[in-house]
Amino acid sequence: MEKRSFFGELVRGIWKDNPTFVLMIGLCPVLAITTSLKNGVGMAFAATFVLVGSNLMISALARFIPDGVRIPCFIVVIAAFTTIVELVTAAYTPELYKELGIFIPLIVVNCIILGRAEAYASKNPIGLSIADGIGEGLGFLLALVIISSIREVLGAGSLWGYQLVRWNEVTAIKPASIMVLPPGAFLLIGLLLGFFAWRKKRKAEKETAQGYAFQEGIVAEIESAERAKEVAKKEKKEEKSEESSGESQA
Amino acid sequence: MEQEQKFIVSSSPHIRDVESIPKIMWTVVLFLAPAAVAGCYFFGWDRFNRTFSFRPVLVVLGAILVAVATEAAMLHLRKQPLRRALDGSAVITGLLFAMVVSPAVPWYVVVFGSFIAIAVGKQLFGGLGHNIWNPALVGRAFVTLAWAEPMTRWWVEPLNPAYATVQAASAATPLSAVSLSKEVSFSIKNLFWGYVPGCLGETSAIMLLLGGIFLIIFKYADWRVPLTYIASTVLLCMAIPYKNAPQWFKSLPWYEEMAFYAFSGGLFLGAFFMATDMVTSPITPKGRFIFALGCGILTALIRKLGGYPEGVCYSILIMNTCVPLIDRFTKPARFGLSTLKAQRQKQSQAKAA
Repeated sequence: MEKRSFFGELVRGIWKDNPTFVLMIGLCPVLAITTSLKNGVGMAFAATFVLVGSNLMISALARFIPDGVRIPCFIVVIAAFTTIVELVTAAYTPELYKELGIFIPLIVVNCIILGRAEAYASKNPIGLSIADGIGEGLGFLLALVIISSIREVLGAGSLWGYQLVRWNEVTAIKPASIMVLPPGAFLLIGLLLGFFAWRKKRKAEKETAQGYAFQEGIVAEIESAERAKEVAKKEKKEEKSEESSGESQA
Repeated sequence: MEQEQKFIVSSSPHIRDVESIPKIMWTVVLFLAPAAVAGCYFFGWDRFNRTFSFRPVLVVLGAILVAVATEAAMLHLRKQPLRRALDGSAVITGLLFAMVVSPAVPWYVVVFGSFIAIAVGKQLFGGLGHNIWNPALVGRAFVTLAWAEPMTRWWVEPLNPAYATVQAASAATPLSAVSLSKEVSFSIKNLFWGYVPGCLGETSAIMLLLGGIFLIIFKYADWRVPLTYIASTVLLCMAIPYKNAPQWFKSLPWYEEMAFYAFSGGLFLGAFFMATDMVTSPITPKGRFIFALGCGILTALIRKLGGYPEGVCYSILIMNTCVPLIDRFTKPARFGLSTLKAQRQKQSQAKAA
């Protein structure tokens, strides 16, 4: 098994194992709340807090939890952290709390959090689990920022609530409200997933092409080495025959 | 090592026909053209000021141009031969898209709608023959959700198009007048010829009927589809009453009410030119019947009970989604299979006896 470092686990969650674009888990909040950048960032931080907290607790408690009841135990831990997040957002950012609505309590059943608890935190030490939580959280944040900013710019003509362009002139393009409606979310996520799948495919093709080139290189090296050997043998033979002829002459 | 060839070995199909994609597509464009020209006349000619506005013509040409340009760009990205952009299929999509939007829509609705129709509705699925939904309707569904106000409210009067004031005072289409109980009456004669507000190419029932009949004569469309679609829509519309229909509509005799349901909205355009699309409709005759029946029922339900006054666009899109399922359930039995089954049954019965 390869050696795992804190930093490596952190970076892996952001890009290589991005929860939204690569693992494709927890898409429900991604579709539902990314109507504006503010909502997206708020949701990502809430989920990250719960993710790090639950990964830490579950990794610490994993040895004491019987295998048969581990899922209910995970849920209890996650629900505790979700309640903290819910009460804190309700107290300090009531506007965000209103906007996100049901999706804050629904963090309890978010696939990312339960998935990471089951697949990672329950099998790995505390430090790495925290790194995994932060990394996956940042990956989630990245995905939500990309999706929600595209949707807000195209759908409402604003970013973080600031109007980018005045739309009230007759000739100017009005924002396409489909982008802040559910069909726009499906359309955009479909296009983004398609883009990432295409990139991955192209990369794999390139790698196989490089692999072939590498193999060919090895084959060529072996062949040239064999040729060199043959040449050397021939030369030796010639030398020998020369020697022998010389001896006979002598 | 040359051998004399005694057999020519090739894969099927072995029987070839003179039909080709460009020929079919350009013929369909020809049959669609009368309705589009009629639309350009109704929504361009001002009979009071005796002037002609080129706005509907620009909508049609713009949509076709964007469609063909998008097709060419996507073909280039997909490393396909560029000549396919001119096989007529993109022109049909652009033309159909222009015919299902109001002639008063802003320029960006036409441009983005046509672009989405080809790029997302057709090419992302793999181009001609691989798209699940009718591309023009995908474009229309997109712009209806994106710019709802121009798409659902900005209608202009035929032969008196006032494009400058369309935002403030717009006309009512026959279906929206009835479903929103407005006292604007429409005569069946006007509906038949097309002198009513509505989408650019959907108003003229006679022109669409002519094009549709030619389409059926040339065997580019199955007669079952438009017949079943229109009949089921009209019958179900008769069965479900409007919640609060205006007085003039209530006083119509039953045969005029039936004609109203058939000629108003986009039913003829959808039934003849969209539900019969070769790519997005079922293969088997039985499947086509089920498909058209589903379209008709959904259209009537959306018209009478849904939020929109007209439901042709969404009902065809929904039934397009069901096409693979319909095709699977109406797969005909292989040749000789039924006799084989009967024989086996007989044998097993004989054994049991």
